[in-house]
Amino acid sequence: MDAEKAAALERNFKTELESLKQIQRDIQKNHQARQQFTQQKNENEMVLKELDLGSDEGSVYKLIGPALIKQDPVEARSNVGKRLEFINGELDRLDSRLKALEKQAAERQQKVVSIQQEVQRLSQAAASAGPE
Amino acid sequence: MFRAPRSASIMPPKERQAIDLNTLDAQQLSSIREQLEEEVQSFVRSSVALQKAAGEFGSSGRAIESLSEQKEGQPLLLPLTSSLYVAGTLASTDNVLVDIGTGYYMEKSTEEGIDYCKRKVMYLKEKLDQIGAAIKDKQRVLAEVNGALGRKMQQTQKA
Repeated sequence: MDAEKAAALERNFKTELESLKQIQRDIQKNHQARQQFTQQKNENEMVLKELDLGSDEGSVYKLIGPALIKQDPVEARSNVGKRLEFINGELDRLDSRLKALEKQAAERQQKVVSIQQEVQRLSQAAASAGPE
Repeated sequence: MFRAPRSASIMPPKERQAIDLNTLDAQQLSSIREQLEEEVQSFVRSSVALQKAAGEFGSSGRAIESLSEQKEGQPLLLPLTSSLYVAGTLASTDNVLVDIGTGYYMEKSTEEGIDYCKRKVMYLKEKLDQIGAAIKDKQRVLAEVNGALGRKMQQTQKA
């Protein structure tokens, strides 16, 4: 019966460990995405600052494919502003997702440790009962 | 036309918890050392990239300056490739098109263009100072960790 219990624990341990690893991979991915969005946010903020410095009559062009297309400065400003809003929204979303993932990871870790302790307890019990 | 550099994000020095290095064992110390070395390396890489970008903005600014000294209609040979040139004339010496990033270009007068480059150089210098301070900070901590690790090694050898 003990062997059965040990095997069950082993299986349990493996699935818990696997899901912990998966969560850690997700956290890694989250970090990468956040880095990318932060970079875009910085660049867009700089562009917006530069557009704000220019006058409404100044010429602004946008690179579309290989061609430079003339844009209305006011429109360009609002476009960049909208993009910043989107990026900030994405960053917020990533933040809350990261918090959730970290919480999950901590819980899994707890489980993995408790299973390890259980295994240790069982093997000790088996060892002390063994010689008789 | 100038490319706005992908801005390197500079993280503020993380809040350091006071941990007595002497309470850590050799393995923990060397893993901290490894991490610190990696951080220093990445900061140095960013610093080199920023320096390069600052240099490019500086030379772009000088290029606009020399453009503004030329006369309109000045004949010139335009490089299409490194070995193929076509004849052309300078159409305008008082306007430049500046790449302000994310695919946007802005027409500016030469003065504004020069000013733009100067501002960018200033901005990058500021960031370079920040990153330089961060590197120094990390290196100081690294030296402390190295010291603690050395002491730990001596202790183990004696024991």
